[in-house]
Amino acid sequence: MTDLVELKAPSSARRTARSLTLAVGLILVGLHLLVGILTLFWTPYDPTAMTGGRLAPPSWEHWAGTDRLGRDLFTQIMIGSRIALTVGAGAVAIAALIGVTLGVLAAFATRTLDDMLAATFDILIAFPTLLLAMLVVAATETASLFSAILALGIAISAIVGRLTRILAKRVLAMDYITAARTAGSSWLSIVFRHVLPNIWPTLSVNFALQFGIAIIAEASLSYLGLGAPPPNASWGRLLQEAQGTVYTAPFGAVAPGIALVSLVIGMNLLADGLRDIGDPTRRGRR
Amino acid sequence: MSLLKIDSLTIRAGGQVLVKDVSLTIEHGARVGLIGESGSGKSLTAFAVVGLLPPGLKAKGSILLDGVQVIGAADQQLRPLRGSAAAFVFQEPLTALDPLMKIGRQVAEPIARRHRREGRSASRQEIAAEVRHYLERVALPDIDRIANSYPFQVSGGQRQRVAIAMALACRPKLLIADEPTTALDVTTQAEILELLSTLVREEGMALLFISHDLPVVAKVVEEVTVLRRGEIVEQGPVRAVFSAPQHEYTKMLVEAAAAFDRALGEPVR
Repeated sequence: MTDLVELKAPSSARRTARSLTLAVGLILVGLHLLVGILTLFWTPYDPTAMTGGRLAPPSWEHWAGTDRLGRDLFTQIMIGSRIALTVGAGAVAIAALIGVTLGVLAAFATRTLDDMLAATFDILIAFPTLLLAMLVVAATETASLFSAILALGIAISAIVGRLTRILAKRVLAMDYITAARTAGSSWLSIVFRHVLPNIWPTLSVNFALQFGIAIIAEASLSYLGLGAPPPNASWGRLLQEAQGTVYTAPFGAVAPGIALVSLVIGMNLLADGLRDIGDPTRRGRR
Repeated sequence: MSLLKIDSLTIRAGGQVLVKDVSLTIEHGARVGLIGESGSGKSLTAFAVVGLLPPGLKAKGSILLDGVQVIGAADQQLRPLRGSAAAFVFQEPLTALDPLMKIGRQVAEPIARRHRREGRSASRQEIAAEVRHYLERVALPDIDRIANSYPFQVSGGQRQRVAIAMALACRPKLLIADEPTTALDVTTQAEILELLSTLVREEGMALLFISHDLPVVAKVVEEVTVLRRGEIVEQGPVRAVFSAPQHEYTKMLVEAAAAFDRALGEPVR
């Protein structure tokens, strides 16, 4: 009995470390999610109301201080969680829809179409995500929350597309696909029953990583004034507004920065944890 | 009408001839062996039967499977044949099963497809009952556990039984077994062979058994075709071919098998 327990000990310790990763990721992302949902119904102050002295340091009344117009920063950061999550989820959803569809199509396509799609992915990936997103925003003419989501979604879809194509090709070369074909499966049923489930573990990890990247990119877009316009308190815009007063009121820049970093780290930890859940051959092992 | 009639089949890859002028007939319920070394075109011939040659390969000649001309036919026309006219069992049972799908679901798939083809939808319970039936048919122990397991959680012999159950579940007229015992150890090999010949007899299926292993083929088939470098070198009843081989190549194969048997029989010095 004791031998058995001892033999099992290291692997279960490692497993705990892994589920700890997942747990911390879930807590960080969950916290932002809860705060984001809360702001739909309640915020400590009206985000546009001047409720205190200008550039006040953190206090009991204003946990993150106030901005240069005397508005409560904590309220704006809370709303920022909602904006960040909306943009991240929207961008990843668009990227998944476009990227997975084109990627699977490329994997099944004839040589010429496959080469064309692969080249398109590579060219799009050669552009930095932010630059590509700026081009899309410029093309939509008016900067809005939706244009930011669309821009990031399109920019990320190339990465998702290329990954999907490679993963799907690898699955299509497997014997069980040949077996399914000899048994009379149609291509569509092969895609939904075998290809997508088998690439999902890797893809979902990538989605979580891209979610984090989209959040940073949205903050950058907003910082440049290309993101959601003023009533939406994006963290990028808060950072940009705090830039001029960073020496007199540093907390105005630090607070949104902490919020941004905690969500992105949470997303990355979640991605790491997801990898083990999605793949049954990894469960219990490792 | 014969179940399968291959007439002067030639398969080319660019300028290279991989299978040359192969003719082979399988009647309903017959058991036929296709033997030859690696690269002799055995598996290609089998894939050509259901119109699933790898891209870039071209087949010429005639293949009539259950009365349908396979060569030149569109994928749409061939799909209804796959599974119902001919079903496959492959060499490597680990890679022939989807690693992320539970065994019960994998066996359920051909069953559900067969019901759809017959134009009636089966309930969950009906399909589950059929899954159990086919898993019992291939003599798997502890069916509930196995149906709920992923392929990597059961043994190699059990995986091959699952693959056979999936092929059976298609209710094919012809079972094509492509080196089904090569990846298994000798004891398991004997069990799987026994199982295959019993099932083929009881279900009244025809069998095309592909192997490079003479003694294995001799155990399960009545007729045999010997392929070498894509050409038929000898064809006939299994007893006649193996007891009095005509062609040099067949003689060599028989002699090699006999030498192996003798080597096994000799005491260890």
